[in-house]
Amino acid sequence: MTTNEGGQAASGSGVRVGTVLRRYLGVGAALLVLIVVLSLTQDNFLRYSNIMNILRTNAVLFVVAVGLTFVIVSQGLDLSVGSMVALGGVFLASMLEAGVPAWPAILITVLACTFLGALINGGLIAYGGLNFFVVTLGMLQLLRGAALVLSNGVTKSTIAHEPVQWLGDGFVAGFPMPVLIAILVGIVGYVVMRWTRFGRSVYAVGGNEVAARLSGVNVRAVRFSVYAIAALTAGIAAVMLTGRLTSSQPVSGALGLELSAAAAVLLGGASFAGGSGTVAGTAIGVLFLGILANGITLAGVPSYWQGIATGVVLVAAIALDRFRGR
Amino acid sequence: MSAAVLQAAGIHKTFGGAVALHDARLTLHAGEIHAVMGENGSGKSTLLAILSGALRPDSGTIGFDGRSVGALDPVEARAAGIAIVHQEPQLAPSLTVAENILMGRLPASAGFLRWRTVNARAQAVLATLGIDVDVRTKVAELSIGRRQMIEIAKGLVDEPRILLLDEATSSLDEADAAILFRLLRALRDKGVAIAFVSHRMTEVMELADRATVLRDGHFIGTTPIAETDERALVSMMVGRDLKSYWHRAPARPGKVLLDLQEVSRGSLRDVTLTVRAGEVVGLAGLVGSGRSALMRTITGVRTATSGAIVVDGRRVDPRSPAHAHRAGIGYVPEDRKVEGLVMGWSIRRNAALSRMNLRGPMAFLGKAFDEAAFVDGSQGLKIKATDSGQRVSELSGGNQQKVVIARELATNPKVLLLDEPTRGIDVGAKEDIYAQIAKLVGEGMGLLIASSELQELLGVCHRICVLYQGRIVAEFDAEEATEEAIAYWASGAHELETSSQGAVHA
Repeated sequence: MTTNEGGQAASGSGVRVGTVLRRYLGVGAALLVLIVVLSLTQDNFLRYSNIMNILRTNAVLFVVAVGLTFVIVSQGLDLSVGSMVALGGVFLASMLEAGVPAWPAILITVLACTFLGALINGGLIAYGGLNFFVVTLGMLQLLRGAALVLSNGVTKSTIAHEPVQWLGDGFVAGFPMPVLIAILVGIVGYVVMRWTRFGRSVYAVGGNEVAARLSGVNVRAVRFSVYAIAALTAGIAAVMLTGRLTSSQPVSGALGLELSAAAAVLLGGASFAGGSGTVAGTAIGVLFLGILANGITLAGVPSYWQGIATGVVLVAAIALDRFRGR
Repeated sequence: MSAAVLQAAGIHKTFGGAVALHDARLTLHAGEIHAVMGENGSGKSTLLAILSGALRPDSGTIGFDGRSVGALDPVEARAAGIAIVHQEPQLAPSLTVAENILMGRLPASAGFLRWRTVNARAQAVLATLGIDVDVRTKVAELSIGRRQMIEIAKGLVDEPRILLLDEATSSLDEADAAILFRLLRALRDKGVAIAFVSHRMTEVMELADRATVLRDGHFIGTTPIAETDERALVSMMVGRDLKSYWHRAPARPGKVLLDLQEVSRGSLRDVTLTVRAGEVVGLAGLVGSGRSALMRTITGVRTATSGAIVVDGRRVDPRSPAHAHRAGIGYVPEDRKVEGLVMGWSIRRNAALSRMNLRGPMAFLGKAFDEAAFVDGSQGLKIKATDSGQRVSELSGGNQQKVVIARELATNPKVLLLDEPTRGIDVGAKEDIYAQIAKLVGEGMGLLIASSELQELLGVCHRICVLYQGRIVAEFDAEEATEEAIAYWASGAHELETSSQGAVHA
């Protein structure tokens, strides 16, 4: 009989290193291979300007993906984040056009997105008991439609509004502002998920909802909160994207963003079964997709191939994970 | 007794590096009921899986019909008249009872199902079982106990000569179990050889003709039941003598810790009940009598519609499990896998799951918090694991159950509610849990235990309350209670006659 009440530190940490390796090794190793291959074959790849370019173009995706990580870990999905980004951009541009000063307009945009996502997605799913897929699929259409109605389908320039441009495309001491925002969002998301009771509750709800409820987790509040968080990050992303594009784009602005973000989260080790996934993994997933796209461009392959490459990688990564798990 | 119809000898089986079976043996005769016994991990289920063709042994021989083979596959096993019934019902919930019973052999003509035949055949099988269920009902609408009966019906469709039951009764209540036992005896009398795995000693003593005991994958012995007793079988299983299987702590009831005053909700009606410090109160009753519903009301999973729930002198009326925890009520639910554990988590993370909800939402939780919860909660529980970072999915059922108990103890409860605390776990783990209950009671905790094993209630509790259709219909001192008296009240027999047994309550 091996009774153990204290836990053996040595073997414990061994086990943990093992699980950490296993969690990140798949896509992490693929990312390393990709980086090595591109460094050797593409002269421009390792240039500072190219690296910053990759980070800048993927900052918006990452911010959205961080919020989506919370949702997917809780065994849900939010298909409406892309439309939320589009609507947020239109809303921001309209306010600016109407003469609202930039900073208050930015703040109101973020809050309005959060409120809308929390109220409809969070409310209907957590408290109304409706299926998340149905609710967020409806919201995908509804928010996209609202963006078109509000803008009449017209692109509005925001180039004259300094703060919006600064957040989306500016620099702080030579470092791109959107990358800084993404890093900040990533750190906050990581700490909340990894170290707080709330984060732990998200994993518990995704891992075993019944056990979580019976042991005292307020499952509804957790479900409500993850959709609010996804909408919050979509609101932040809306401001960043508007700044980067120098305009609000109701039609093409954030088309398919929710799917790219979901792909990044899944590549990072999350599963639709819930209970698994980390913000760090999501960062790796976003980097992988971003560098892959960059490599395709650098290699002179028509960018139409990008979707094919992404799809193959996503299915391959998840199939690999599945077979290794057996 | 007639000749052997199935003879397995020298069966070896390893999984990875772990030896599951080492020279296991089992001989089944026509017309006998044969218990296969052993603690969890002793290889009982593996042996049955090999006999049913689901697993291939590494070596050994399986003899039947005068033939001897090294391994069976499922098709050969079925052809040889071997059927197996699993512990967990393996049914498709969205299909009907009839479709499930005849799955894989649905009668059809030209590709179209002949529904009339399907339903008639399924109904005929159920009739032999004495189960009154419309075969067109969807399985999802049935209780766990009923589903298990359907699972058993599935095993009987092909009229097997050899029937293997892998803990098939662990989710049945006494009434369903009685029906099943009657059926098994009838099959035996028709010459069917039946092997069954069970953790319920009473079941084995009542039903089996012979028993084979395995320990750590080794064959220990086969013995006729008439020539042995519970104690001897248990000592064969654990390899040592058990001084006392039950641990009833001396009763030293103190102040009232839990006081239910006419609590009602749904089918629960005016339940009045007290649990004192240093006291174990048992809840007896059939499946559906409201045992689990009552526990869930006390723990705030569902809120009572009327009545008062008072904890340690303070009216609480729990609104949620977290509220109940804060008031000092701990709750170990019935089904540890579905309701208790996050299977992908480590032991210590699971151990911290209830305690963490006593903190604020942004409270910082790290490994130290989890480890402290585990150390505090698991004192005396003898959890067998490599370390507290091990995944609970890798643990045996008994150790998983101990982790759920540790999780609740980590909240430092005044009253602990245990729903079926030893269902489907091995003798050694049961003993540890009984010892823990005795220890907690000695320290002044109050415990409320729901169980469908009457022997367990009689062995552990100081008082036993019997629920029938949501009401407490009788209450006994454990010293005076008998299985017969409890079964009398639990089955509703008191509604048929006016004679009274035990102290009538309510």
